[in-house]
Amino acid sequence: MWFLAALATVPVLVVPLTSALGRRAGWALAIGFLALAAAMIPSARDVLDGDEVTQTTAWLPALDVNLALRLDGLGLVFVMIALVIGAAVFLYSVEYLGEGRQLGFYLWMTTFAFGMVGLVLANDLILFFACWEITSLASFLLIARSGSGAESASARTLFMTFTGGLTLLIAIVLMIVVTGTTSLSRALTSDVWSDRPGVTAVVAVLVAVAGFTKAAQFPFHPWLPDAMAAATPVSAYLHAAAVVKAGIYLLMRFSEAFSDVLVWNVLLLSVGLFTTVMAALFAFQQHDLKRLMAYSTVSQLGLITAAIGVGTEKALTAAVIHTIAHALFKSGLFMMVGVIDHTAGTRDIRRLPALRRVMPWSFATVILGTASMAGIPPLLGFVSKETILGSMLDAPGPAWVGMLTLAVAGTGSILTFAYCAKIVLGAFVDGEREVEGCHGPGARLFLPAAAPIWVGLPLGLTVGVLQTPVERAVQAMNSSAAYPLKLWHGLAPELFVTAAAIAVGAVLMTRRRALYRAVEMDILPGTGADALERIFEAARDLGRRISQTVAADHPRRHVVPPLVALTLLLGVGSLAIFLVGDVPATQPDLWRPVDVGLLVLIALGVIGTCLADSRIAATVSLGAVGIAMTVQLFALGAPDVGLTQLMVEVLTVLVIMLVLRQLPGRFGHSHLRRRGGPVVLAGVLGIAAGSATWLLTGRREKSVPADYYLAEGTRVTGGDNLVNVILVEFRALDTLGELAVLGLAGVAILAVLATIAPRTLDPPARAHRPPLRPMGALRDPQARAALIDPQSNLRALQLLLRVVVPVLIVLSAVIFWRGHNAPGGGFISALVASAAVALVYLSRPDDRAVGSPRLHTALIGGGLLTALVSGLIGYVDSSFLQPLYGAVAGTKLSTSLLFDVGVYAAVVGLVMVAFDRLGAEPPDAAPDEPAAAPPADRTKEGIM
Amino acid sequence: MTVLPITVAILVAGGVYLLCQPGLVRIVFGITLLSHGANLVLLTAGVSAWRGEPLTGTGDPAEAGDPLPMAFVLTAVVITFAVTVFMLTLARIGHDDDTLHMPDTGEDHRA
Amino acid sequence: MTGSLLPLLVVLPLLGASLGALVPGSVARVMLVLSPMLTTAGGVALLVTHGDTPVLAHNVGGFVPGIAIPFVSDMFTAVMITVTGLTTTACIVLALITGEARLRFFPTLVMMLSAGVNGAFLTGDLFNLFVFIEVMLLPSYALIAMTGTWRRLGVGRLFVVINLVTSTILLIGIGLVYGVAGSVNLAVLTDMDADDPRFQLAVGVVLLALTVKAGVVPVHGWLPRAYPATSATVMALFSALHTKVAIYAVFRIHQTVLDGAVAWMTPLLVLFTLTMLVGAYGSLGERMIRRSLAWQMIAGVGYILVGVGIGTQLGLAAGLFYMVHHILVMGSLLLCSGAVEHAYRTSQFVGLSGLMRREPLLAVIMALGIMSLIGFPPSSGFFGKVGIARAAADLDGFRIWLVLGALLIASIGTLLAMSRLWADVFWGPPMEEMPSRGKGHKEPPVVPDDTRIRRRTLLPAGALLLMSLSIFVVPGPLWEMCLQAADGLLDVTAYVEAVTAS
Repeated sequence: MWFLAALATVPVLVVPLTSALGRRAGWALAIGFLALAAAMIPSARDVLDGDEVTQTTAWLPALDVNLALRLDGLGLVFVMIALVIGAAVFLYSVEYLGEGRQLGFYLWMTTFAFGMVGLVLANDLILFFACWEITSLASFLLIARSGSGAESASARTLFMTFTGGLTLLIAIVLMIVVTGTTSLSRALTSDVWSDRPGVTAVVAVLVAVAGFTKAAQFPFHPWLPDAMAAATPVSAYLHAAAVVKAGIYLLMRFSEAFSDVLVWNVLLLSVGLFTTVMAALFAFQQHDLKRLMAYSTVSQLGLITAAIGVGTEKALTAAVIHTIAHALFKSGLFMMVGVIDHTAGTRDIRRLPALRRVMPWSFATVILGTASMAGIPPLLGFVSKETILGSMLDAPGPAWVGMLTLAVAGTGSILTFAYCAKIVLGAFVDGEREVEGCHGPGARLFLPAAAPIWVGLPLGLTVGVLQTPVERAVQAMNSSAAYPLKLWHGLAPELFVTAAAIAVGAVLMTRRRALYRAVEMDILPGTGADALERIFEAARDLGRRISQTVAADHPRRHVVPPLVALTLLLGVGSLAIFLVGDVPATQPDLWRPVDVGLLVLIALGVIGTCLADSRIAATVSLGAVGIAMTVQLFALGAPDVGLTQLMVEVLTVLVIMLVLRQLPGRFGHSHLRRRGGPVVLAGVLGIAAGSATWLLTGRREKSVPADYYLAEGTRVTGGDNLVNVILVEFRALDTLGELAVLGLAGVAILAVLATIAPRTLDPPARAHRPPLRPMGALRDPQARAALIDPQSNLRALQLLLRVVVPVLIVLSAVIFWRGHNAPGGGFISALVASAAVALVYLSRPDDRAVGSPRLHTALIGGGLLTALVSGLIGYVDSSFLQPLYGAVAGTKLSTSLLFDVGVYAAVVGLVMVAFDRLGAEPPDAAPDEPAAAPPADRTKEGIM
Repeated sequence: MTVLPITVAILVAGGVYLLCQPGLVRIVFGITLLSHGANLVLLTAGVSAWRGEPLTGTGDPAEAGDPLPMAFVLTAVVITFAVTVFMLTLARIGHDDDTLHMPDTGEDHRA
Repeated sequence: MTGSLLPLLVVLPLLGASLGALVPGSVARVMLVLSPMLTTAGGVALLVTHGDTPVLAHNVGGFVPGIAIPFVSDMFTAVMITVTGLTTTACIVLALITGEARLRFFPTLVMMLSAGVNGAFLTGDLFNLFVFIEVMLLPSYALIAMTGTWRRLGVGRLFVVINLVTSTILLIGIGLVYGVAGSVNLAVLTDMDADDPRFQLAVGVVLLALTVKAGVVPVHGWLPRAYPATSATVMALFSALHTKVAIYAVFRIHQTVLDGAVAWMTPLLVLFTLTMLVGAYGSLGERMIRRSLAWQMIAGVGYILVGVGIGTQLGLAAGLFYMVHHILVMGSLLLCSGAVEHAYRTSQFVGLSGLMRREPLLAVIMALGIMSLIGFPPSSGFFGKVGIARAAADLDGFRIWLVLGALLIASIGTLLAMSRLWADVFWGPPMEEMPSRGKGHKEPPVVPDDTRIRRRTLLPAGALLLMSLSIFVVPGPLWEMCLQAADGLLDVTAYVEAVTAS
């Protein structure tokens, strides 16, 4: 735990370090990593003695997610690789990287190392996944920062590794559910894997896919050569110690559970072997040394994967030892390529001069490294390759499978030898170009690069020292004793294979010129990168199609889907209910004859509204429907609702008229030709709604609330008009909200109009002509008089006003007062008063405003305020909006009356706003505000 | 057999038809019809068998209608009124209520 | 905190709104900042209270239970109020910085908006829910039509129409519920037989209306059209409040009234997974930061509601956790876009390029935000994704593959969409070298070299992002709350008792 914590602090330290030391921070970091590695030794010793070091801290108890760490043999190997190689890479980068801070590089590299070590130590499935994702991210960032060329490559890498991450996530949640534990070690040793083959196979495949994506196995390999765009140190770490090794680690770790699951063996073996041959061939095709190296990594990892697939202790031993060997020679070789690049200024073997004279040491080193890669004795690579080849014979299934796999692996090593030779010859032996201008690399660049390779020689000779760690690692995967590591295994078949491979390879390389030309052609159509780009493009097309389906701003396109959904729900629903048939009987006499008459009227009105072609006609028939509805409401015994409906209807029609003045007289003909669709939808939805209403209403006794109100309402509130007492007392909260909506509608109108250029609001030239000119108006003298001289035309109305307005005021006051006990109340009386406002407006010859902007806001804000205050008074007793009763001059009063006053004010306010802003010339925006300069980010969207 | 559901059906149908038209004014009309329908649903939900005015002291309480849906409808009517007025304002902007193209607000249409 | 104080969460913002219409703008703006802070404080107080008392209920007006409108708060409510309060604060801060808050009546409208939101969270009565949704929507109509681009008015019309139609559907649904059950009080409705098809149909209509407002596929289309046309700030506000209120109501009603168990569960699950997919890939098709994000909002709605579709305690909790995560991250990203638009006057891919070197701070915030959205560590998104996956793994039969498969494909879509956004906006050549801003642009952009995003405009986005990151480090408390909230949704006895007792 302290260890991981220490590692976690490293990226944090990077920031000050780099700012202090610049690129030289690499030295500090290398020392730090080596120190950490040294600090591991005590726990490492325990591990080598055969026990595990574990530590656990709760992270997310609810999901049983813990920061659980475990260090075992397998972990130890990978931790050491990550740290030691990391140190070497850091030393190297100090010289390799250009001057400057290189913050990004060091930051992501250390994060990378952290993620890798965390992954290896994690003993909790979720933590494991988190670290897995961190390595994906870090590799993406490292590649992305290496210049614009690398950006698309990094995106492809992220796509691959992220997909793998998702399959891993699915595998992990499945594991958690079936094994019932989030502990990696317990989950892997669960006996579910033997008891439930089905789920085991699924999880195994998912895990394998995840491993393949990271370990760059076919068909997920393309990202690795892509990643070449990254700086050399990055590649060195990526290939030798980090991402790809994370994939290998995953496969090794989970082989504990799956090593005897057939699909696992087959999948790993076949994919691994195919990858190793294919990638070796690709490698041999390359001219760019770095690309060649990349493909060689893919090939080597394929070999390891195949070995894991075999799953016997010998195979696993081979896999572990080859992982170590590969980490050493591959990191070294990559850095050597960087050295060559630095010296000769190119990595292309066609342009490289014969460098052996200039840089003999590098020559020797590269020979050593490639020899290890090609599996030539007495290097470590030989031991590991040898063991792998040998283990192929133990492949599950009949004997011929073993022979086949061995043969394939043999082919792979022939090609391996070939491309290794190509590296050496291409870089150091062949090449006509003159070599002057090139001179050997500095030691500080060369040593860190060469060290890992040299180590391979003594290790190969004294491979025994690795026995214990490798043994422990293997025991972590399958608990049998490991296979003894020796340089010399006697005349085993694998030895002959190796010999043959070397011989054939050598012969081939003598004819290399012809051979190079022979393999020039492309084997696969297009590169993996192209394939990925095609996938991305397809996804974008899909996306474009999806977003096009709704790319319309007119409401129809967006209103139809909900309506269709409603049709389906109501239609299917009520049909089902009707067929099931357990519907309670309807109450008797739900309808009265009057309903039928109103039905006819409403029907006519609706049809009229729908068919009318002129806006006026439509408005009139809409009004007719409204009146019929009013009567219907009265017929249903709802006088208050009826009155409200009536007043609202009148005002709505008036407002509509005001708006219509600004609009063309006739409806624009539908730009959307299709009229059939709407008719059908309307018909079906109508029927569905009707039948749902029929099935769901009128089939129960009076509701509990109804009985309560009828029995208790008056006693509780002292009001006889139950609807009104519900509005202002029982459910005053609804009314408060409704009042807020009313008032704020006025505010909203003011606010919106304030952001719009007046010229698009004032009546345009054509609208100055009286909008509703009756046909032949000019021939009818009276009409002409009326139109020409509005003043005289209105005189009658103005006279009338003197009488009517006061009457209306009084009337509204009366209605207001009686509201509590008889039909009436705040709304209705306010609406009556609004009618007075309307009259005043109409009686003006010009479009003069009735009230000032201040008055509007005062009425609205004040009304809302009054209502709220009257509600807050309720807290005097116990509750918001609790009415308090008192008696003034013998009449019972309640604070709800005050509430009603608020309602009254707000309604009048809104109506005034409507008339003044829609009917009158808009006055300039209120003085106290800047005339609503368009917000800073007003203009920012193109024409979609 | 009952009548009000049929009235609901007609109102809803008319509303939906108008909603599918391009002009905003027509859409407003459609919504008005639709909410007439909704209000009628609410009232029938109070069981249209009892139609007495819910005024204490007038008529037989047993025959009185359910006051709660009436209160609901009243609230709904007023809210619809408020929003309708607002929508009519939007319809007025740019002297054109056609929803197929953007109203002219006198601003430049370049991003 | 006692139940009788619950209404204050609605009253105080409303007071602010009414005063805001009367007092001069500067004073109004002060109240504008205070009100969401008060909301947040109230939310935190509720979080603390629900530590020991699971449910607070209060019958407004002190009338008898079942008749009065109850205001109820449990852990679910408290979490929502707190998170929305925080996000609203962040949005308002940006609005003040960009000067949007100086628009006429902006403070009044926003305060009324948050009053409506709090009311919708607190109410235990269907019709009252309808009223508060209207209270929330009306200012939104104004806000969407007064901020943003020249398209805002046409889009404003669309937004009003859609919401008004949906509200009417909601009203019809409530009517039908009352017709069947004779009550609209959630606590009372729990007594109804949830298997009665008539009752299910009635509630179904209510839920349908809510899913339209939430933006569930296939009734999602209006959202990615309407939202991006307003300003970034208002869009952030809407994304944090509107769809989430609808989702909250779906969770609440579906679980409380229908016990979550109905015939249409599997079809619903299919729709929700579809929502994930359509949202994730739809955002690939857009060429503007906020349009792309709008589709991600839809995807998020899918992720959240899948929690309901799964229906287990873990599923609901995972859904809630994801909702909190999504509110924070979406807010952060949208506010980032707001900062970009404030400085560069565009959020179109064609108008932006090479911002990574030009705006390092923005790049860091936005990168982390995107990582959170995709679900990478170290961010709340990681546990959001893991939680949904973990809960889905408990499903049976094909439903487990339905959800997990959708999760896989949708995540890839989100990754592609976001990496495209990143590539177009943050990579590429520096702004100065950009040839043209594509069709509709007469002359090449005038981006002076000294144009930079001012650090303080990134403050709100950064704050929200920090919360997302800290949730990754300490996920425990939030998960516990979500689990408690899920319990409250699964076992409603405490809820009912609290309402009927108070």
